[in-house]
This record gives sequence, structure tokens and C-alpha cells, in this order.
Amino acid sequence: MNPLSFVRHLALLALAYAALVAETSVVPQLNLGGATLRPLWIVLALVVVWGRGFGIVAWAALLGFTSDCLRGNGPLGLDLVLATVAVCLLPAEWTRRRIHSITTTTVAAVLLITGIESTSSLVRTGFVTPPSAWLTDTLPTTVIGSLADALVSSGLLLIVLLGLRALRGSLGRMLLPAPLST
Amino acid sequence: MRVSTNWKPPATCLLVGLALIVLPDQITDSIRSHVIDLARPGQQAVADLADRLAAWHPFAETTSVADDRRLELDAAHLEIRRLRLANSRLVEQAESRRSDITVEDRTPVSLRPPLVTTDLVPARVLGHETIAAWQAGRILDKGRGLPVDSLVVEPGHATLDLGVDSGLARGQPAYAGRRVVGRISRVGRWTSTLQPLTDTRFRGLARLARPGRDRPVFSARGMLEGSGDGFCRLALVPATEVVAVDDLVYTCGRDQPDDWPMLYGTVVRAELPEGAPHWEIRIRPAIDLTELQNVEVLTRQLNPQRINSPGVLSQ
Repeated sequence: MNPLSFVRHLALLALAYAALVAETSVVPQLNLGGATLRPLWIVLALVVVWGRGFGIVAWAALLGFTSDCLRGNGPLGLDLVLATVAVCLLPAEWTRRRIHSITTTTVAAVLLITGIESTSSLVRTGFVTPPSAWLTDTLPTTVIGSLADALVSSGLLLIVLLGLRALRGSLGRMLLPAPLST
Repeated sequence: MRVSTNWKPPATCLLVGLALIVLPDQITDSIRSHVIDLARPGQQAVADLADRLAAWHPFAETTSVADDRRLELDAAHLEIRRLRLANSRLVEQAESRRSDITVEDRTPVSLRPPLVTTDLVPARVLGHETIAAWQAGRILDKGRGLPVDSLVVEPGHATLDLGVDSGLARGQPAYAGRRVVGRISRVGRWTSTLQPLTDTRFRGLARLARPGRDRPVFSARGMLEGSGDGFCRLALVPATEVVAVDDLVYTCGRDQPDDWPMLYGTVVRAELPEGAPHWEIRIRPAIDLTELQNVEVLTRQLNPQRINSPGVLSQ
């Protein structure tokens, strides 16, 4: 592992902890019109963007496990499995090398959050009360709710990434010498 | 599996997940609570940050601080005005009482004039060139006779341009303002030498003091000795006394001009060796002896009023 990769994993660890803290302190107090912000899955999207190969799978498992611990119902390990499967199902172009496109990152976040959240909610709901009208009632409601969560989380991620890009551009213009002109 | 051709890592993770799924509720609850406990420091930090943000009113705080300062300033102005009034009242009282006191009242009947009066005689320090010219006989004396041997010189001591003719005598202390310079060591007809307080043979009673609010606060007494290296040491200060660097060292005794102590110097080092009965104190003189140009020599003489006054037996 090269030093840069080590630093990147340290940064991801810090982000994961911040996401854990946010999930247990800030997020419950936010009122986003019924949608829920999922910082842990935002970090997972960043892992997919910044990581490669086995690292993505390991981080997905860790973040899934953390998400499992934060949920009060259902089996422990379900989100772990779902997150692992989700990153394995992502297109190979996204996971083989690092992505620099903000759009791709946002799309990855939407897909991951929608897939993991909806599946996890459906399974957990099924564990608590077996739905009678599963296809007509539970499935659409859960998928729409998960999509809303995904859109809110991806929107936040998009804003943060755009802000970072603008900051990096400003710093670059400030630090780099001005080009010579005739 | 599209992440990589290696299927082992995902499989391992899936196995771990499945193992967690089949764990009993007691263990899963314990794991959940431990993970949530991990977030507690971060939650505390977030709560503290939220409290600080909630309590942060920069403009209100600035306004309140400015108001407090204004109130303090107004109070200080009032206090100054009150003190000025009190001062002017005291001055009026003092002047009215002074005018009431007659000449006879000013001189206490019980106290006679002092037997010995003191005087500060200003003297100049002779430069090396002047001394050399004197020793070479190059000073024009208009035939009055300025013998070379009338010049008093001591190695390491300054030479003053006053001698016996000005009432100087051996042992008289010399000051520069309120600072001790040394004392007269040898006296000639017109010149004398000055033993600096850093000389190894110099001794003087001294006492320590700390800067007080309006005057120094005196504490331990001791014996000041010159150490011969441009510094002095204060000996015989008991180990039970409190001594600190930057303490001031003043003269000690009753025979000082104006009954006010003169400054020897400042404590630059104070050490108390283990088991020693006295402090080891190093003093930096208050006067720069190399830059010395003028001194004042303290002379004493019998009070003429006492000499001329009739004695008890004669009455």
C-alpha cells in the first residue's frame, strides 16, 4: 500500500466516523419533507469513486455493518450483505479505476442508496409483519421512499463535490503562476 | 462479480454478513450498542459545537463589552473627580494649618538641632587622559605647584577631582542620584579615589525589597560584598527568608541622606544550596561604573548650631 492510498483510507475512515456521528445526532433532527439523509451511503459512493478492487468491497462491508448496527430491527448483517452485493453489481468501469466525473459519482450514489435502502427496508418490513398486499402497497411505497432518500443524499453529495471542485479551481488559479501572454 | 476476478473478498464479506445474520439477538444487541457507543465522543463534540453556536452572539457580545467598558470608564472618571476634590480639600486644610503654626511651634522644644549634619558634595570623575597628563606634568598650574604625587590614583578605582580641600575623607559613601557607587578609599589634597561597590574589599549593610504599589516593600537584611567581577553578592540572608530574582537591594542603616535608602542593585541569581543556612545571592549593580562621570559624596560635619549653643552646665 502506497502512502497516498493509506492517507486516502484514513480520510475515508474519518468520513465514515463522521457519517456515523451524523446519523445518530444530526440526521434525526433534520426535516427534509419525509426523506432521510444517509451519510453512510454517501461515504460508500465516495469509496466507489476513490477506491479500487478489494478496498471497495471491504469498505462496503464495513459501512453496511455500521448501518446494520444503527437499525433497531431486522437481522444484523443484512446491510453488510446488501452493500457488498451492490458494489459487486456496479459496472466494472466504475470500480476498476478512479472516477473523476461528478455526474457518475452522483448516479452511483443514487443507485447504491436506492438499491440498498429499498431492499433492506423490504426485507426488514417482511421480518416484522408479513405484508398481505406486498406488491401493490409495500413495494411502491418503500421504493419511492428509498428513492427520495437517495435523491436527497445524492443532491447533498453533488453540492459538496461541486463546491470542492470550485475550491480546488480557485486554489489552483491562486497558487499556479499566471501564463505569459503576448 | 465485476469488481475483480478475485471472488474471495466478496465471498468472505458475504459469509461474515450471513454469520452475523444468524447470530442470536443478545449478541447482536451487544454489538449494536458497542458500535453506537463508539459514536458518543463525536456526538458530544457535535452537542458542544451546537451549544457554542447557539450561545454565540458576536454583535450582542461586542455591544455588551463596549457598554461594560463605558460604564467602567464613567466610574473611573467619577473616582478621579472625587479624588481631586478630596485632594484639593486636603491641600486647603494643610495650608490653613501651616499658617496657624508659629515659628516657635515648628521647632519642637524637646528636640534640639541634630549634632551631625550631612551634605552631598558633587564631584567629577577624572578621565584617563587627564590623569595621564597630570602624571606627565603637562597640566599648566601657573606656578602654583601641582606636584605629580599630589594626584591620588589606585588601580581599578576612579579618581575624583575633590580631596581634603573639599571636606572629603576616607570611607565616605558616594552616590549617583539614588544609586550607590562606592565609597572614598584614598584622599589627597585635591583628588581622591573611589572604591566601587564591586570591589572585593567593599562591604555594606543591605536589605532586600520588592517593588510595592507606591514604595518598595523591604524584607530580609544582609551584607553586600563586592565580588570583583562587576557584580556583588549579598551574604548572610537566612535560608528562611523569601528571595527572588529581580528583587531590589537597598542600603540599610540610619545614616543615609534624607533617611531614605539608596539602591545597590538587583538580584540576578538566588540559590539556596541544600542544607545551607544562608542564601547565595548575586547582585547586579544599579550603576554602570564604566559610564560614571559625576558622583555625590556624602560628608558629615558637626552642626554649628549645636557648637554655638550654650551647654546645660553653663546655664
